[in-house]
Amino acid sequence: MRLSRLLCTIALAGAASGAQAEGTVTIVGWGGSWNDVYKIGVTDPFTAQTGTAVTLDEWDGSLAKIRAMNESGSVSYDVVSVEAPQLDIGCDEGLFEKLPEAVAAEADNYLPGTFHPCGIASDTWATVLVYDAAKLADGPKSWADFWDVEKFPGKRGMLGQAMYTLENALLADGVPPAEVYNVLRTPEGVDRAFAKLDEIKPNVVWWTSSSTAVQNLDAGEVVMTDMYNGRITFENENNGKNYGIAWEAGFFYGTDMWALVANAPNADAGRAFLEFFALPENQAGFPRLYGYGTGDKRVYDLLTPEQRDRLPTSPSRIGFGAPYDSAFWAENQESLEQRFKTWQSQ
Amino acid sequence: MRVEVWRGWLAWGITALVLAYLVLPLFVIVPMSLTSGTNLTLPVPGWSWRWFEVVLTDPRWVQALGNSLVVGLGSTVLAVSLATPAAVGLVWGRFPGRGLLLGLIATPLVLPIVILAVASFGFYATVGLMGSRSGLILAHAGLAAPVVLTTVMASLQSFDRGLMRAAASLGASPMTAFRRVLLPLIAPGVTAGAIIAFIVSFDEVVIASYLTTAEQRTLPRMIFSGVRESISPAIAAAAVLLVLFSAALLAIVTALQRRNG
Amino acid sequence: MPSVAPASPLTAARGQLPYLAMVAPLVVFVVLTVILPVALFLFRAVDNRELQANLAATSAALSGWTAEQGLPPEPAFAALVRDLAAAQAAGHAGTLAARLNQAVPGSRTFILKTARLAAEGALTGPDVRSAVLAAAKGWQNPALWSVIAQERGRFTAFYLLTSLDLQRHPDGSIGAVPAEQALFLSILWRTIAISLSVTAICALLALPVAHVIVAAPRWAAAGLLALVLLPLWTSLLVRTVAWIILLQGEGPINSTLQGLGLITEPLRLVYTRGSLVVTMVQVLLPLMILPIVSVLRRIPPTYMRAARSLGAPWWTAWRRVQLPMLLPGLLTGSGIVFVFALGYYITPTLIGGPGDQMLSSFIVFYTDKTLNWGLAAALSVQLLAVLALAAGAVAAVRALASRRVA
Repeated sequence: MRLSRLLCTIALAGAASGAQAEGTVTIVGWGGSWNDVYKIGVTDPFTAQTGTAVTLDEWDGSLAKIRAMNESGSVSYDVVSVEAPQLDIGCDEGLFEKLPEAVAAEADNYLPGTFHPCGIASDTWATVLVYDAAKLADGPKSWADFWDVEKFPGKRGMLGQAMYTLENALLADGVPPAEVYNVLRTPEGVDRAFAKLDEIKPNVVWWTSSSTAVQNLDAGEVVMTDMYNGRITFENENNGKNYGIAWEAGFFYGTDMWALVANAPNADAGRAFLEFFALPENQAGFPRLYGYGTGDKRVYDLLTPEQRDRLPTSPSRIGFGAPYDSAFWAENQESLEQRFKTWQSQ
Repeated sequence: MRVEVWRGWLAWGITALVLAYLVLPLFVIVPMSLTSGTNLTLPVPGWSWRWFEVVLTDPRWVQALGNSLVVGLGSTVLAVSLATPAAVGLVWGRFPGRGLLLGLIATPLVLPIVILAVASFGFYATVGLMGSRSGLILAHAGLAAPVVLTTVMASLQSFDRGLMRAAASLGASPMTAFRRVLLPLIAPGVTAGAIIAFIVSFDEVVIASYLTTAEQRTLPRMIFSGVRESISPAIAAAAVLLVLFSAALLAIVTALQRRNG
Repeated sequence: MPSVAPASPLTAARGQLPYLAMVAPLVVFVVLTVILPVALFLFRAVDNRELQANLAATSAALSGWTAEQGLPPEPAFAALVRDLAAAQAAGHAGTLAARLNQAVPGSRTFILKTARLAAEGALTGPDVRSAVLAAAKGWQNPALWSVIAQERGRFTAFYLLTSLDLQRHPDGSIGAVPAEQALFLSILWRTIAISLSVTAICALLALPVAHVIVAAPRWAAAGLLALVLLPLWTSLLVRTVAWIILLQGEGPINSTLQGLGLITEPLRLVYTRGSLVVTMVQVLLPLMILPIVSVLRRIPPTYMRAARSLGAPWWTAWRRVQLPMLLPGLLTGSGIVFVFALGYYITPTLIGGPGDQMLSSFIVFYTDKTLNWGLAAALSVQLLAVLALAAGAVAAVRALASRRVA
């Protein structure tokens, strides 16, 4: 009898706890080393300056969860890092708040695609052409080389989804990065991208998790692959790999955005965090430690040449790239992914 | 006759292979959890407890373990207290529609888990129970209740109702008879049901990933997201703990059922 | 309670009340926490609330209009501007645009822009039609207007049609979607094919094992059964993780084969159809063995012996005597394995490749990534329909088989 009472007490105590302490803010990132770096580089300094304690959580970027929290009126996140297309959708649905005025006023200092009325870049990353320089001394220089299985025999690793893959197909077909979305917005352009993908389909090993993709490259199962640049920097710096990145082949950079969730429990502290992060010297705390950039152009002046060299959005690199068009993907993701999966299973 | 013997050996051979296929893969996680390296490769570079140390000291793993225990206990208490009287009512009652009710209660057993999870997600969000451990306790209790119901109903089949009548004729009130006569006799069945209910909740991952935010993350949820991002030996260590825990509980169930049967 | 006279039906019913009261709380609980949420979710498959509530005036103004007439007349545009302004003010423009974008991909941005302008009062004047078309030329697309004209009711068939690779044309007829968009039926077949092959392999493996367990001496049978039960009580997630470790490029199987010199490059074992089926069979096999064992135990061994002593070869005796009697167990096991396999999600996600994802993964994709809960619900309806059909078929075959045996 005593045991069952104990169980009840435990269960009730568990159900009741969940209240937020004063002077805190819940900031939600992508977990793993991303969170570790953000803690050292950004949120610890924020706490030191403002006295606001930060709970640094992680999530999987599922907008459904934000929508559900909002519908239920029990929002437990304050500031989240969300992928740009999801920010676009969520902003229109009123799931995120507009930026504080002080932050919004800085719009002109941001790189294309890194500023949105509801958010600013928490990190910029690129999907780049990667090869194992230990095995290929004279590596690929372009996406056309990636497609050229006679010049570079062997399988290719590719991300198994339409988003990011159709862009690379058009780059391989000779479309300059800045023109890719104009082409993709026409039905003929989409057909053209799929036709290009047809050429390489028999030589592709599809990947879904980045660790698989890197493992495939490491094991020599693929000779080159598309991959997030930060992951490659990490492997080269920490695991003694010698992977080459063909920046000059052209790339698209993507952005995750810090956004304040509508009806956040600590909205004021959340705004204070966004204002803090909007200052270049604070923003630089992240790219100093990691292979991902941020949105404010002035940040790059504060970095060393070595730090700049890792980033897709540093001044010397950005000429090869273009931003992912989040508005395009917000309205075409569903139909193009459907077509891509159909194509994949044929 | 020689063919007969040969056939017997062949059947035993196949059985041995199939059982090895069923059981041996589980053991691969043991060396993985005890590796001193950071990769899941065999042979392991050396042995160490470091990954168990990570799982048992890292605040996120500890919090997840705590959440799993609280949710498991909560949903078990709820499932048992709802399913035990229901089992009595269904076995002893003679009202029409019992089969229908039984089917209704058993729905969560056959429903694809994703449908249940996504549906609970939408519903619990609108009633304000998403992102709370109470919500997950309710959802897991719904999943575990039919399991408890089955074990309690089974133990009631062998219960002699004459005992209840005897208690009544000796002047015991129905409540007293229930507490003093029935409950002690079906207790092994109820306990077994409770333990299985606990395991159901303790192992469940899909509903847990929909109804929780980081604060209520459970152990299986941690393993699941870990496998998707990068497999580290910490995951194997957590998996070993999960298996050991379930196996210990299962041993208790088996012992109880043997005493009962 | 010895009573001489038979109890009246009323007294009998009253006697049942306490039992009913004992069952009621659990029934209410399951209805509230399982049945109701699932029903509400499945309702989304036909729910047309977004369009019905937000575009009522527009669809009313479109009554009598058909796509062959070209662009709709001025009043329809005026009504559209009123509707969009109201939706924008109520904060519904985002979901409305998302809903229309599902039917006409690529329309989201200009619909949101039109709504914003409408709410600002920028789309007024004598010629609203020109103002709207100047602001967003996407409204020239008659397909969009057809959707608004057709989908005016409380319910919609859009999601169910989509889940069957069908679409409604502007003229109201229903036809197949273009081949390059025809995804969902192939996913359905894939789901059924994987489940069927898992079921068949389970049956093949379970039969000899069950025979051995039943024929074994008591102590050995108990041990063998424990070995069958052990994996059943290990978390599905853990078992899948174990297989990933085993089969990965640097895993024990590959390194053993390489160590033996049988292969030079690691074989691609994980993230394939093969790895998925191998794992699913391992996970589900106990559920096939157990019902066969319980049926087999009830068949007296003398039957087989009698058949053999009458000169029937073993195979004939087994097929003619034993198989019909263990069929109920085989059917139960197959039914359970097939139904469980249909709904698999964790295992395909973790150990299958992109071409091995089953229906459940797509339900998750549309729920999480694109917030298309209507399509997620329609795919769920499809999955439940297959499940019900399978369960019904098993029950029917069982009934048929038992009649033949009797």
